[in-house]
Amino acid sequence: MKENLREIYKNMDLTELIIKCQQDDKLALEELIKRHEKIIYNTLYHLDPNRIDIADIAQEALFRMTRAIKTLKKPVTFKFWLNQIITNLFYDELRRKTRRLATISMDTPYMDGGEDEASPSRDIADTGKMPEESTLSKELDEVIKESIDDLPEQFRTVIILRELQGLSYEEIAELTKTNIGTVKSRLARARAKLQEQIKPYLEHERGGE
Amino acid sequence: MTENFSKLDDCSEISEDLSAFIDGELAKEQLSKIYEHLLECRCCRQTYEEMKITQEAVKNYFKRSTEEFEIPEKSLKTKDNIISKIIFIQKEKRIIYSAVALSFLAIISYFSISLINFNSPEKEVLHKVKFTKEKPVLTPLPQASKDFTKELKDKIIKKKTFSKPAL
Repeated sequence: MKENLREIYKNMDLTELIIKCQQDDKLALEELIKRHEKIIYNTLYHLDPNRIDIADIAQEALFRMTRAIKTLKKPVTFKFWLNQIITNLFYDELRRKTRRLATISMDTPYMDGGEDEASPSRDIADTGKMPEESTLSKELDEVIKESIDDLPEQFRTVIILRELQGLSYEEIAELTKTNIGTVKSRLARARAKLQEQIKPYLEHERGGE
Repeated sequence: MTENFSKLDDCSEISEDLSAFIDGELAKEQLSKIYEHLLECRCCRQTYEEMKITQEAVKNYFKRSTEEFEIPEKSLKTKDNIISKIIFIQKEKRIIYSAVALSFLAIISYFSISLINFNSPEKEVLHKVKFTKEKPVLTPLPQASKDFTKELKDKIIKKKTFSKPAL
């Protein structure tokens, strides 16, 4: 019986599932967490290149999502609402740890901090040194990941909210407390930076096909 | 020459809009302007193609990384923990709400009972009885009644003597 219900909820439309959750349905809550835990973890993983306390923030985000689901009046705005929880938690944590938000100018050279400041995880993967068994797509993924990590904070946030979470410009502007024009400009510049890093690998991949 | 300059201006203006064009986040007028420019300008068309490929690659990367994301071992029980925590909070809330409702009900019933008692005529009688008990009103008996009590006393004495014959 329980398994059947689980299967039904698995295929259920998100809006319907949210309504079930708002009626204190335990299985619906389980399904909602199951559907969103990975994307929450992945969003936080990319928002914070240092990957500190991701698990704690992710758990807190999941907890707040489940606890406050009843307060969500329009289930269609769930994605925006969830990202509000994630970004608020993330930036609160950043502020709490008195980490200074990066405000690097676009004119600043790419590896501005020099070799000493760049942690080993921020090094760009070298194609020549990659293990032979690694596939090209894995290599490309690694390059994309490193390039996203190296983006200035504000650019990284808009790229994550757009490409990973699929939010609209208006929603991103509201979350980042900016205007649509700023979001548009940040996204364009972030994409230009990513393109700069990824282009050689993309060409390599396309050449190899 | 002037044409070339205007072309360059157009291209630099458009580079920012190209990203929004890919996302479908442009207004109708801007959309047609970019579309027309792309038809004319080979260079921007190439930039657009490259940007689109990059965007797709990034999007695919995010999709793959989410699917393959390995949740840390210590967080694996998150789901159960959260649900039990939520259920506990809901139970706690229910208990608090019921306690508040019960106390509210008790207060209301206390006040309504007091109000009913205060207004009821029986209460008034009780009050009077109580009052007269505590402070008896001593009214002088009329003369006739005095004789009557004397007679009554005599009768009682007689009765007593009757009922208790000397052994």
